[in-house]
Amino acid sequence: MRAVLRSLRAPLRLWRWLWNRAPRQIVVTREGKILIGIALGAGFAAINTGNNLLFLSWGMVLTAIIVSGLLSEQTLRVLEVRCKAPEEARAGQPVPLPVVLHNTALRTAALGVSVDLQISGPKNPALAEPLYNLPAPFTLRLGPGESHELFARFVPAGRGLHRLLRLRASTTYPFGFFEKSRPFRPAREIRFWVAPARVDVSQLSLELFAALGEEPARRPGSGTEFFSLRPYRTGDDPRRIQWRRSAKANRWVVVETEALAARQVRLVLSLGGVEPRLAEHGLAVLGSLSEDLLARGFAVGVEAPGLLLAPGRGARQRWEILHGLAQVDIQAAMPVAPDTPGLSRIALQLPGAASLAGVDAVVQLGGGPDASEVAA
Amino acid sequence: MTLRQAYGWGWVLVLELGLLAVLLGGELSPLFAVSMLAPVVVWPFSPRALSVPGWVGTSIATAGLAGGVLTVATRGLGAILLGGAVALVGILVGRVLSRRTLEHDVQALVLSLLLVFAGTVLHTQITYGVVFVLYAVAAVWALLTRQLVRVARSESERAGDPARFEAALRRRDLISPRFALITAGLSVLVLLTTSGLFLFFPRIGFGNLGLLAQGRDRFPTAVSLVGAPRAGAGNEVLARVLGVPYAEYAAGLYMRGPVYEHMEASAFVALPDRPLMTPSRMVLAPTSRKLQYEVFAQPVMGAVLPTLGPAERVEMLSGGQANPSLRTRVLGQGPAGEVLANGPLSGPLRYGVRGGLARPGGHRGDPRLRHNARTQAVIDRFTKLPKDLDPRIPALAADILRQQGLEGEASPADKARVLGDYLARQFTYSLEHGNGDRPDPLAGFLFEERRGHCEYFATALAALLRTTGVASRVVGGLQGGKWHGDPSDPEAVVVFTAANAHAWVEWFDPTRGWITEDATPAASAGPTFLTGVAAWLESLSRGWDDYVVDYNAQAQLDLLRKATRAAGSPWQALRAHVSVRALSIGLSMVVLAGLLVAWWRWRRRRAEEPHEDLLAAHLLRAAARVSGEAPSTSATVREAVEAVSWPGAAGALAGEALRAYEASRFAGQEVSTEDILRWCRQLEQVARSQR
Repeated sequence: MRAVLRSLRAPLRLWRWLWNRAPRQIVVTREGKILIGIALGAGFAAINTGNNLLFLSWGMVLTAIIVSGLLSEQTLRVLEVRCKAPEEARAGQPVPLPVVLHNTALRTAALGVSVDLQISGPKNPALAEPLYNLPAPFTLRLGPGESHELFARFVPAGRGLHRLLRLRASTTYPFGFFEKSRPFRPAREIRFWVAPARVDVSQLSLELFAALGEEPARRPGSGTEFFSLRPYRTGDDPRRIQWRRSAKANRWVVVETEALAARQVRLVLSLGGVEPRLAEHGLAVLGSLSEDLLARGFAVGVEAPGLLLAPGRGARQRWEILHGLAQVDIQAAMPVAPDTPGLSRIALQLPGAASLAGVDAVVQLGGGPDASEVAA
Repeated sequence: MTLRQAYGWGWVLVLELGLLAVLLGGELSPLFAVSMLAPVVVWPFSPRALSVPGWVGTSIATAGLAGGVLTVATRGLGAILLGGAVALVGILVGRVLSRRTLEHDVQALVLSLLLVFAGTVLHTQITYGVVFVLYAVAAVWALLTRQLVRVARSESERAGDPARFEAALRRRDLISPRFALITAGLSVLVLLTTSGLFLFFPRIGFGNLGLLAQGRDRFPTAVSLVGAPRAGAGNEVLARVLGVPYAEYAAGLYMRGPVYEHMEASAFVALPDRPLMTPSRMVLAPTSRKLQYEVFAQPVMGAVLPTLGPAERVEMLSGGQANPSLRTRVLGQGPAGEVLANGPLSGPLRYGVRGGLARPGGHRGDPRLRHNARTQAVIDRFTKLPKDLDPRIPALAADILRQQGLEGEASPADKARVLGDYLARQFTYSLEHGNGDRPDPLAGFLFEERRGHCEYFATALAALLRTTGVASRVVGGLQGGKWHGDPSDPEAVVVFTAANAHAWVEWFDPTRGWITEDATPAASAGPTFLTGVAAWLESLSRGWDDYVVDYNAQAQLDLLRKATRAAGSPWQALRAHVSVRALSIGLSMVVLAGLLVAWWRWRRRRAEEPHEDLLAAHLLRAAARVSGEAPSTSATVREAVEAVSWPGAAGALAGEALRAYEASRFAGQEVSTEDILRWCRQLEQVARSQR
């Protein structure tokens, strides 16, 4: 029995391969199955009896099938569907995938079109289901020459490279007996990286902020220390005028104070000897902590297996970190980081991971995704 | 109209038409008309709509199913389709009354489709054609609106917001004139394709499931005085006869069907298993010269092919079975001269007859016939009386003859004339059958009520004749008919409907054969014409019978031959089949429709004041067409136009149009309507050239 099933596997695989590459795919709906059953029964009876009225009624049922095929083809033929990769995607959060539908016809409207997408996740043994069949966005009517932008949403289970496997436009127009689909193959493969999930590390980031404090920013700002004197400009606070110097110079001179800036930190995460699920959790904490510290003004750099990012600030650095973490191979070796004066290296220590040398502080992480398990 | 109303009405219409498809056939009891109330009662599509508890719906459906089974059990396998229709109606009503979801509506639509299929056997009149066309249109409407409802429901389920579904059902913009136009177009497409399939699908009948049809053997096997009269008020055409001269029609036509020869107390009964015999002039005396005529008849008389008199030659042309492509054979003639087919008839049939006409009076005698032992055997057989015959009846016959001075050796012809006159003058024709309740209906008719329908008159005359020693029998069939056409038109037909059903008498003259006699006073009505709407409806009905019900493999081959010939010389073929008048009317209608469309488009264009947005839309469409991809939704018109490499002079045109658009849109400069329309047309051409 098992041998028979095994022998059937190859033809089934071939059939699936052919099916996925067919220019049109048709799925019969429940109503369609009933209609086909009636058509078969009526056809048998009509041919058997030669009853003309039965032929007439049978003709109507067959016509419904033929017209369904013709009109759904008319709808699909004039469509162009394009999908764009999302600009940012986080594991565990809804990712909107923009899909543009364009009706190329000059006169014919496309009716009742839905778009069917399938995304494959990274081939990660820690993930149970690397395939995502996205709920199809739908447009009721797409006029001639019109374009609609729809969004398909999905929640990736884990970080890593995701690919668009299937992009199909489907319609059950006009009668709902059949769902006809037309696959679209983008000229370039649609792929995007999904960053690690966001976890709550607000307490940890607050403690780090308190422990590391701030440093002079070497630029004028709202600090308390003297920075420089400069001529008065319209809009300056009159309380900042330095009267003595103004009298000497015979013009208004104001005092500038030096701004304070958060320190530079580099977060270090070693994943050697850590099981994959825990490693993913560590990466999620690293990404979230980086985001929080960046939001508090820190210049944040990252050291993780195969990833070394110099400290930086702002949205660009945030994107670099998240994008880099999305690509981390947990089996890769730790990079060799150069010593940078004034930079605090903070290690995130996962249970069971090897200890790191040469760090300024160590944060012990719990084993789960809950923030309460994170302890400094 | 809101989406809810459009869907609800379409759904109701489909169900009503499905029910009509079987109810109009007349096979179901008129009580079933109550079922048509069910869809109307629950018509509004809404969860709040009337919905009886599930067990009530189940009970109704079960009752329908039981009714169907009972119908088959009591009437036999021949009524299986009738039983099926009864069950279907019950299930449909149960389903409709207890509907709660869209899926229930689909089930009801499927049941209505099955009823339409049942109607193909139970309802073959032209009304089925009308119902069928309306059903197709209503089904297209219902399915299209159902698609919209289904999509709205899916969207609301995806959003987890039931209010969205309710809001969509209240939308009025979806059911627009354009939607109605799409439905109409789709309906026309469906009907045209259906017609094409009907015409050209090969009629390859393997077998014959016609035996499952309810027996259309509507002529009873006896002329009984108990029960309803055979004459009814039905307009259903039972037979058409082509080729009878008007003068013969005006003299009265009797279309002979089954012959009832065995007399019982209150009935004449047709005997089964009678031997076949060769045609003989002794059998039936004609009243006219020989005629050649063609009969189209519904299968209402068992295996008997009705003729207008003694048939010399009968040729089956088509039909006779549920499968029109299978031809029934003529088996021969029965002992009473009736023409018999080789089996029970289950479909309309067409046959040619050569023979004379038989009707009361003016019979031609056959000088070769002599009274002999053979004719005596006939007399002995057809003068048998039932033992329980009221003794007043022979006394009445003798009394009538005595009053006319015909005692003793009066001829059978004199006896028949006198007795017939007595009944025709002294008795009243009435379709009420109060006599049927009496213990002896015949005696009740002759001595008390003195009024009755044709079966009373025929039975009474035959009985009176038998008591005086004249061999007689009762014949059932059709009488009179209506003339359809001009009296001089050779293509005119005599149309017999259910209202023409009749019974009369044949008595035996040893020197002339069987003579037709009719004592029913109402039978002597003059010729009647089909005129006005009735004539038009009959033409339609004839076309339906000839080209739809009776369409067969031979007709299909003929059509293909004609089509092949017409393809060679279409104009001549058109002239041959379509009159100049019809052609001119058709062309005028096409021109009128064209003018209407042009006027409508002109009005629409006038109503849509052209402005810069129209120009922008054309620019974007042309840009999309030339570049092969839709402009980004965030791009301005200028960005979209400048991102495209325009071919040839199209670039200059696009630039000019773009500048005009921007000047109008942003600088408030006026651009003339003519210029906007011109640019739009030119951009449209650019877009088209990229196809």
